[in-house]
Amino acid sequence: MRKLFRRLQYILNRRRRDQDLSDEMAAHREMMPPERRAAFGSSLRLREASRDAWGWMWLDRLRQDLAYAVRMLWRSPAFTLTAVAVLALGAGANLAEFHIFNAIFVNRISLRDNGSLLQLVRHLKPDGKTTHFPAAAAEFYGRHSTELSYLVTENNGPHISNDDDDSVGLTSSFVSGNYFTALGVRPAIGRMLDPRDSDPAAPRVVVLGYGYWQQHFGADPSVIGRVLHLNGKPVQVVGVTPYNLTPLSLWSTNDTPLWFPASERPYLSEPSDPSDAFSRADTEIFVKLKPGMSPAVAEAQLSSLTAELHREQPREFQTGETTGVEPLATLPKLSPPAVMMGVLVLLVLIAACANLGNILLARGLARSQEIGIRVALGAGRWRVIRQLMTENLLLAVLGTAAGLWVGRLTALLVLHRMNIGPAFRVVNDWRIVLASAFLAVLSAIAFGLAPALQSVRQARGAIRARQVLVGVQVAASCVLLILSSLITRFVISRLSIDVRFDYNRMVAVNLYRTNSNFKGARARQTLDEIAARIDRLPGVDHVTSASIPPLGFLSNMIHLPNLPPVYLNDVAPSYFDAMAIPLVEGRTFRTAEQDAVIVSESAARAVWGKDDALGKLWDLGKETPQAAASQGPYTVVGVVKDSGANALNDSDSVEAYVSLGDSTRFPETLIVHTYGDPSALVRDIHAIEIRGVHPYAYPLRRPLDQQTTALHSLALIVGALGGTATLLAALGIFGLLAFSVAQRTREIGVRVALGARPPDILHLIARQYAVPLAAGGVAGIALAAAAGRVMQNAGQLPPDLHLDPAIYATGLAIFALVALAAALAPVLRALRINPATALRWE
Amino acid sequence: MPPGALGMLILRVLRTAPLHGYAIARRIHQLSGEILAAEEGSLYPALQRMLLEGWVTAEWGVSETKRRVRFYSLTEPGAKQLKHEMAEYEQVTAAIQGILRTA
Repeated sequence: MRKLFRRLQYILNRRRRDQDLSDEMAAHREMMPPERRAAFGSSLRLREASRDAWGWMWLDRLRQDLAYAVRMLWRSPAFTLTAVAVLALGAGANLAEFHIFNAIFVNRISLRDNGSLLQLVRHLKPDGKTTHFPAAAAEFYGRHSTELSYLVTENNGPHISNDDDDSVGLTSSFVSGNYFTALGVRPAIGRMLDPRDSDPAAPRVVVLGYGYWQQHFGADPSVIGRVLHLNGKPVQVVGVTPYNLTPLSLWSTNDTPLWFPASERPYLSEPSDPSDAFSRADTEIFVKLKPGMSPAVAEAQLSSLTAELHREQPREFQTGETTGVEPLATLPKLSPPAVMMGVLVLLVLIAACANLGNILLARGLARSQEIGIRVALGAGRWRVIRQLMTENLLLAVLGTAAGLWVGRLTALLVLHRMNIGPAFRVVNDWRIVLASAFLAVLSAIAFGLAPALQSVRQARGAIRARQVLVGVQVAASCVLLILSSLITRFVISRLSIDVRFDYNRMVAVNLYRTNSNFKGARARQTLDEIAARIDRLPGVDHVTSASIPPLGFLSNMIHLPNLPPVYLNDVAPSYFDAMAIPLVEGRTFRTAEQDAVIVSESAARAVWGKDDALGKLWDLGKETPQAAASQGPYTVVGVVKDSGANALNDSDSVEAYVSLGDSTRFPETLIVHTYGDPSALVRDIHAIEIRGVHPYAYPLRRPLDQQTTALHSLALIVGALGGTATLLAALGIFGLLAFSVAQRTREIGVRVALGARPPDILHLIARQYAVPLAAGGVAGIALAAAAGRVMQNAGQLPPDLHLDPAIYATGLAIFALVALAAALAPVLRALRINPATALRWE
Repeated sequence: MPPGALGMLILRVLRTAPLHGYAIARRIHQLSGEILAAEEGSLYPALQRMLLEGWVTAEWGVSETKRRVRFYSLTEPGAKQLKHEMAEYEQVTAAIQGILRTA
C-alpha cells in the first residue's frame, strides 16, 4: 500500500526526481578518478534503467505510442473518418439497443420489493402460459393462501374517456387497494390509493399519472380535490403518482394516466353481472412471499387453490391447470426475441469490425514500407504490434464516442417511433458508458489484432485474412437482410389478416350511462333513440349491436373439452348483415331468441366434422351471462362464414354467436358501418347529446393499429439493422475491390497489352472474392434459418414461415444488388485501364 | 559478485552512517579489500528499487569535497530487511561450506 503511494508520488514528481538522479550521477562521475570514468557507462541508459525500477515505463511508451497514433491518424483523415464512421455505426446500433432495453425494462421506478416481487403465472394445458387471471381468482388466492406476505393486482388497459377535455382512449390501471401501500409508492402530491378506497361505499377517486398531470393539467397542484368526469362519471382526484411510475406488468410500458382502485371498475365500465368477475381474465397478480418461504411451497399451495377454483368455475380454469411464480425482473431478460435482437445487433458490430479489419489490412499493406523501416531500426516485433494496437485502440475510442452519440440519437428515434410515451428518458448512465468502454476494447482487439500481426509479418497471407473478413461481412449482412425480409413478410401477413368484414369503414360505439338510476324501459327507449340517430347520420348504412366489438381487446373465450377455444359473442339479429358475414345455411336470430346458437364454419367443422350442423344441439357448458334465463343446450339455427376477427389473438379459434337478450346492459355496444369517413363519423357521434347516456366511439381498426404498431417497429428496427449491415458490406466490398484494382494496375495493364479481354480482367478481379462471397452467403442462410427457428419456437412467428424460400431469395437478391452496385465503380476502373499509362504507373 | 548480494552490501554499509552514491561504491570497494566493485550500472537502479521499497531514504546534502550530493540513509524497514537478508545469506553460505568441506 505504501509502496503504491511512493510509486504514485514518483509519477507526480517525475520531472524533479529525474533531475535529482541525473545530478547525482553527474556528481558521482566527477568524484571518480579520471581513468575510471569511462566505466560509468552511458548515463542515459543508466537513468532509464533506474527509472524502470519505479515501474512507470509503460506509461512513457503509451504516451509515445499515443502521440504517434494521433499523428498517424491526423495525417490520413479520409481513413480515420471512414474507420470512425464504420465503428460508430456498429457501436451505435449496439448502444441504441442497450438504451432501448434500459428505457423499457430497467429504468422503471424502483419499488420497495423490486428484487423479491414475484408474478403469478398460469400454466395451461398442453403448454400454454399466461399471466392474466380472472379478477376473482386474485381475491380467492389472497383470502386462502398462507404463504404470501402480500398480494397486489393490476388490470391494465381499459380505455377511459375524460369528458372534461374530450380526451378519449386514456389507458388506465385498476389496482388492488393495498397496491401502493404494499409496494411503498409515495405520491408526487396528494395521496396514493389505499385499502379504504376499495370499500364499495367509499367515494369514487382517481390518482393521476405524473406525465398526464404534467401534460393535461400543466402540473397544477390544485388539481387535488377536483372532480373529473371519466366515462361520464364523476370521480375525484386525490393524488399524483411519482415520476415514471409504470405498472408492474411487462406488457404495459406506459406511464399510466389514470389509476383507480379495482373496486371502481364496475362503476366506470358497468359490466354489472357478478359472474363477470370470473369471465374476464385480465388481471395480473404480483406477490411477495413471507420471509423464508420457498417459491416451491407457494406454487404447490397456489396450484391446489387453482384446482379448487376449477371445481367452482370449470369454464374459467382448465383441468390440471397449475399456478407458478416467476421473478419479475427475469421475464424480459429471458425473452427469446430480446436475446435474438441483441444477437442481431451484435452481428452489425461484427460486420463493422470485419469491415474495419479489412480497411486496416489494406492500410497495413500501404504502410509496409514504414513498418519495415521501423523494424530495421531495431523496433521489436511486439513494440510495433503494440504501436499498431494503440492506434486501433484510439480509433476504437473515437468510434465508440461517436457511437455513443449515434446510439442515443437512434434510441430516441426508435422510442419516439414506438410511441411509448414521454415517461422514458434516454440517459447516458454509467451502465451505458461502461458498455461502450467494453465495446471499444473488444472491437480494438477484434478488428485490430489480426491486421497488426499480419503487418508485422509482412506476409502475402494478408489476402487470406481479407477473404475471411469479407466472408464474415457477407454472412452478417445476409443474416440481417434475410431476417428483415422474414419479419417484413410476417408483418405484411399480419396486416392483411383475413378479416371478412369491412373494418376500415366501421366504428364501435360504447354507450355509457351517466347516472346509475338510468334503467328500465326509459333507458331502452333512449338507447334505441341513439341508435336511430346514429343511423340517420350521413354515410351510415348499418347499425347493429353486440356485447363485444370485434378486433378489440375484450374477448369472451370459453374452453370446452377437446375443442379449440370458442369465441362467444352476443349479437343482435342484424349483426351478420351489418358485418357482411354471409350465412352459409340456416337463418339469423329472431329478436331475443333464446337457446339458439349460430356457429362459424370452422366451429361447425370442429364440433360436427362433416355432419350438417344445422339443427344440432350444442351444450356450451354454462349459460352465457347475457342469456341467463336460458338453461338447456343451444340449437344451431345457422352457420356463417368465419369472420377472421379473432385471428389476431388466436388463429385456431372458432366462433359462435348467441342472441343478445332484450334486457338493457351498460355499456351497450353499437357497431356502425359507414360508406363515408369513419373518423368524421366518430366526431358526429361524439356530438350527439342525450341526457343520461354518454357515447364513446372509436374506429374499429384502432385496436388493430395499436396491435400492429409494435410489429411495425420491429420490422423497422430489423430493417434498419439490415440496412446498416448492408451499407457496411457495400463499403467493404467497394474498398477491397478499389484497393486490389489499384494495387494490380500494372499487372492488369500488362495483361491488356498481352491481349487479355474485358471478361478475362473481370475474372481476374472477381476470382479472389468468389469463394468468400459464396461461403458468406451459405453461412448467412444457415444462420438466418437458425434464427428463424428460434423465433418460431418463441411463438413469435407462424409455423414454417421461416422456411419459405422466397424470403431467402429476397434477402440474398437485395444483398447481391448492393454488392453489384458497390463493385461497379472499381470494376469499371479496372476495365478502363490503359496499358500505356498503367506501365508507367507506380 | 553473486546476484542479490549488492543490495545486502549497500544496506550494510548504510547501517553505519548515511552515505552518498559514490561513497557507497568506494566503501564497498575498500571494505572488501579492493576485491569487490559495485558497478555504477547496477548501483543506481538498485538504489531506486530500495527507495521504492522504502528501505532507504535520500536527502540532498554537501559532501566532504563540498559537492552537492544525495545522502542515502537506512530506514527501520531497511534495517529489518538487512537483518533478514544477512540471516538468509549466512544460512546459505554455511550450507554451501558444509558441502564443500565434506564432499
